[in-house]
Amino acid sequence: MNNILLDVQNVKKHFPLKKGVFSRGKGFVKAVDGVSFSVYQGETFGLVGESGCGKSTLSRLIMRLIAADEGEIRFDGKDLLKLKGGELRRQRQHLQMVFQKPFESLNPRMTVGEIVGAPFRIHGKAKGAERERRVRELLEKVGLDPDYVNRYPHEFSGGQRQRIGIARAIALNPKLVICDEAVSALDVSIQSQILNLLKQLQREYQLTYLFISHNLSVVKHMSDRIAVMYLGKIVEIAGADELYASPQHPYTKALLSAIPHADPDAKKERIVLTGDVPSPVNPPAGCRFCTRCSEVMPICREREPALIETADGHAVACHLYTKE
Amino acid sequence: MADVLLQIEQLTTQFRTERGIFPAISNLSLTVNKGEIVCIVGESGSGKTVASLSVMQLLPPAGSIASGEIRFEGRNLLALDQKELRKIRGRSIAMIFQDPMMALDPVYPCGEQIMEAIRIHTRTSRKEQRARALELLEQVGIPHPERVMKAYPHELSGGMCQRVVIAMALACNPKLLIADEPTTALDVTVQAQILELLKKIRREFGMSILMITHDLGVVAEMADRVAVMYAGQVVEEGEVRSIFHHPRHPYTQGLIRSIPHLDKPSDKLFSIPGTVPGIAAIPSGCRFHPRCPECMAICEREEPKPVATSPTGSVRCWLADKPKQNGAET
Repeated sequence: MNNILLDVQNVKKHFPLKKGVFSRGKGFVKAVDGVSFSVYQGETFGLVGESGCGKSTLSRLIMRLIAADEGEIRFDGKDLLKLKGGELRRQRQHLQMVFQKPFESLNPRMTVGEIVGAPFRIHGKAKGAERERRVRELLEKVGLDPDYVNRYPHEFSGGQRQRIGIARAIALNPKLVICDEAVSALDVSIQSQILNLLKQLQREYQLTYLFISHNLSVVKHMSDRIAVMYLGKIVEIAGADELYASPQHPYTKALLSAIPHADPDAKKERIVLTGDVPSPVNPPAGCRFCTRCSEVMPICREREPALIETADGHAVACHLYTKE
Repeated sequence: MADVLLQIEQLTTQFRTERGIFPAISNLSLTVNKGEIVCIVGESGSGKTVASLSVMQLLPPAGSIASGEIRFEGRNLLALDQKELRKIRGRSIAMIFQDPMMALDPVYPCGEQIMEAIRIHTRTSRKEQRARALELLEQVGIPHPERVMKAYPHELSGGMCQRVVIAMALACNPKLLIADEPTTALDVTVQAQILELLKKIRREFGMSILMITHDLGVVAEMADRVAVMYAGQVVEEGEVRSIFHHPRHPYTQGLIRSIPHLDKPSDKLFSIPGTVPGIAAIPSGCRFHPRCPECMAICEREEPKPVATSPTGSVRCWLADKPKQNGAET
């Protein structure tokens, strides 16, 4: 196996719920509740799940945009959660992010040159003419006209803005790029352009991606390995092809069967889940999926299943697979 | 099957902007037959929502219908006055929107809002309205209708809200349901529930559905017929199978090849270069020609007319005017 670049161990983030004038604690939103996985150098690790499952919180935890309550995040051998100030900032140049909303993640008052040049400025890398040259180079790399440096974000379409965001993310040759729903806001024809660009850049710069999306087809296309999240927990991790060919967790099966196929003749058994995702404030006891699971057993309501490896590189958290 | 319910003929809807008046859709023709699900598919800015709003005549103040006809059960909707229109909206043609939270009034309980829809269009007592609202909530698969009657929209999830909106749309047994991106704001598992529900409604009530979406997966699942829109025009129309298996227009072909498939792994996705033009910068000739891989000289000069490809299908492309070429199909 390759080297582990990012190792997340038992990370938890509970947001307190406040209510009333005295801000009394009213319980916690268990957004991320004990998540462990590792990302190898050079791979694309996909993270899928429905809204509210904690995938964005997890990406923010890794970036240290918010502090984790518990657990360990080792990036390139260093525990990110213990780093402070300048040291943390130095690590962040290796850890970049592409955001979902191309309209909100670019400062409208900065020119494209300033936006893409910001990482150089912040980390004191290239100055003056050298910075300008690097920025132009980056714009060309992501398929934009280098003469756009003096334009403002509002002059660009969603796809072009996403390219600007990508140029900014790869400016400092990061080791890991987190793509949090990076193509979700884009139209299909633009989406495929951006996915191709991300793949091409990965080959060129040996990037490692943590690719987060709710769109399973996109995640499958991009990823080597995939983790499925449900209510703050990872329920299944497997190689991309393996996960789609033989999903084990009932939630993964339902999720896969719910995707509309772009083929009118595709006949398939659809598992329609009843109900909605329960609230992460009061997640069900035992297995979190037990309220919607078609194969629920008494033990599921009592004991939480651990994530265990059932085959090489395929781990699942379900009582169906824990018993002998 | 040729029992026509809605017929849009040569519709042009224009928008007033600071830089002048531009057509958002031009010469759009589309038919919806009784009991049929027709999907309009296109990227953002292609004019699909404007088309649906034109039918309901709910265009924003800057928009207006310049020419064309919209016939519903033989009556031209554009010739009706506001009072007559109001009788049709909600009663014969109902509409559901993308964001269910926005479509509901946050300060009234859901039940009250469904009852209002019934009250406006029928003469019934409050008791009857209540009973009907409960019945509707049950039909759309809400587990505890009594509780949801009293609930405010913020207390419900997105999927539940969309069910309430659908219940409201069904209140008067409309003949046509216009659904504008009804599942775009929802998660996949909830989307699957709502799509099943819409199919069930069509089966049970024989309702026609005009569905607007950008998701080809949803189209393949739902549609009987498909209209592909690009830059304000329908570029291709046809039975869902022929659109997916034998797309004729290079734009349709590109669109279908752009989506990643679960079962067909590929390293590089096909992509259409460039972006959808804005309404103020519509290219000359064929509107797709700057992005088209098969662009010919004539495409830059002259706009192609729709050419019939089957009794129910047509394509707006110069390639289709010539005898069928090998390269024109995928």
